[in-house]
Amino acid sequence: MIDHLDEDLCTGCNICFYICPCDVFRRLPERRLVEIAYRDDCQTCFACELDCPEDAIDVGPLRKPRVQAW
Amino acid sequence: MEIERAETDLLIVGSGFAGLWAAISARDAGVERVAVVDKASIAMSSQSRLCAGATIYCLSEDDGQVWLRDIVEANGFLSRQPLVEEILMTSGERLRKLEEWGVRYPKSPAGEYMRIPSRGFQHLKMMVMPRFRDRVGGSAVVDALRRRAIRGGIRRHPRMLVTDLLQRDGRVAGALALDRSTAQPKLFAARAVLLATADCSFRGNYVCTDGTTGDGFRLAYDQGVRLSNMEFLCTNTGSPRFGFEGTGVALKWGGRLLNAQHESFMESYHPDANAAEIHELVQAMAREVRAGNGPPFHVEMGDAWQSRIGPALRGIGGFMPVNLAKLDELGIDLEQPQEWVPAVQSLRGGVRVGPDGQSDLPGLFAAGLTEALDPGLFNGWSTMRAMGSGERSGRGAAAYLAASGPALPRSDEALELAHRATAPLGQSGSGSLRPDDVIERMQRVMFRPDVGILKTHEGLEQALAETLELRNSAVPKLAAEDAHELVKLHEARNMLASAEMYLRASLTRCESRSSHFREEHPETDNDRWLAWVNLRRSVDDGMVIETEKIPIGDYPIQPPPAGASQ
Repeated sequence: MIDHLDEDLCTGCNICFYICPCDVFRRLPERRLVEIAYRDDCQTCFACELDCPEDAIDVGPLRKPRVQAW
Repeated sequence: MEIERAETDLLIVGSGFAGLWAAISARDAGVERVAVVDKASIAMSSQSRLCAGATIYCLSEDDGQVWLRDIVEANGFLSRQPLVEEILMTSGERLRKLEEWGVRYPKSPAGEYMRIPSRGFQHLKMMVMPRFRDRVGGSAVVDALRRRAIRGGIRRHPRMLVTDLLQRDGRVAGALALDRSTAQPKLFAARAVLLATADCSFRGNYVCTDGTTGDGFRLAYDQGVRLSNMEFLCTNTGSPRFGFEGTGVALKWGGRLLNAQHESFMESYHPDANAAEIHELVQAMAREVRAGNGPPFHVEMGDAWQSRIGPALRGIGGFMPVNLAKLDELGIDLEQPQEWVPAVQSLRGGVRVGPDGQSDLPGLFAAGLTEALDPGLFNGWSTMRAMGSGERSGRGAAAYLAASGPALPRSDEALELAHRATAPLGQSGSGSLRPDDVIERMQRVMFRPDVGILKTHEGLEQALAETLELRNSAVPKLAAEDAHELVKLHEARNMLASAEMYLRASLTRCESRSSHFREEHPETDNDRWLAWVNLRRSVDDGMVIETEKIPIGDYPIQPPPAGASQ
């Protein structure tokens, strides 16, 4: 699950906002930043971290537990 | 309410392998206005981009008929053989085009493509690790396709969820979509619509599947067209704590699946445990649970992790390399036994289409995993299925458009749909439900072993009753706080619709085949069930289900005659 977005490194390019399949991010245009708005919806695909040009995003590999078969 | 309006010739919903190939081939075939809409970004958010990109290509040195037999047999003879054959035989040409557009597959020093077998197939081979610029895997192919599609001339509409299609005078007329940030509605007047929205994962435990929520299934169903193969649900396996793609590889190269008694149990269910299909592993786990031998289950890889399995999965591109690096950082040691659980992955049914990719509704096309082609899930074939059907359906849409008239969706209908789609926004109060709650309740029904793995009549009927209860009582009470949650609300509706189709189709097929196992009907019955289960919405909002015998006598590949050994 997404752990952290470093505001100091973020340039507000908005790539993560566009790319996230789960709509986790929201833009803060007046601050030239992006914020994690819906953390619990992260599917841990790492797309944002891989495409962030400033290496500002850290996604951990552990996920929220889901409904199981037994 | 103001509804923004856009006009296009072809509207493509979804932008993975299938949607992108459809966009390219429609433009190449002369369609003037091609618009691509996606609930996330155009191409960059697709499952196609996250996958490892293994793809089957049938080259001139391969025997196409032998490969076709591999695919048809592996799919329990339920394949739409002419459509499969066309995709297979044109795959070499698509490889040539991808290379023209900059994609590179690994070759040996002698200049031959490096190819490996794909689990579940006897003869055919797949290529892995495509490269484009600095990308390896599915992202390489998607990035190249996206670039080519944009240069071919498309209009892009990212972050818009299509909530409804419109039809007029017996043909498709357009689509209504909501902006994902603002919930503002937009009407697309479209002379043709092509659904390439992948499948339905029910947001199961597998990796990277939260975006596939059966959107295209429900959109098509509402228009009264037939869907087929909705009874086939592929359940994979994985860790409950983290994602893992490659259980098949792990078990083949030294990993063992262990029950609660720490015994390796697969051998008692399958003569050659390494050749067992993934759904057979899951069925075996469910039987072990019944026998009191689990949960918990574990996968134990030991030394094989460092020596063989890890290097293979790290090198393959897509999701796994970065995932494994992260697990290393956390100190999670995959040499140690890891708890292992079923992971619902993909509903393999879809819209029933003709050889041109058109559904029962003129102007409505489907491609990729949104289209019903065959019920199985096989590495390398899924990707080629998506690419080949996308290319073919884009061409089919172009041919349809050459002879069709203007799109005239009714604006009063669009207004009504927009009101309905946005009505739950801001309604939260006592008595209202949130989409996450309904989704979880749906999962508690769908993920039960007697519903998804070893299906029983009673389990399916019970699940159907609960699903209908959710649809009739819970959905009308759904509220969304903001646009983000409103999209989830519609995704929940789409998953519920897919669940109902799955359950009714599962109750209909009274035999076992591929991933569909019926406790009361454990044998495959080619006399009665070499047939497709087709369903569609009826005028009074019920579901009509019909079985259609496969014209197997007309097909190139036949099952062995009854009584002959397989």
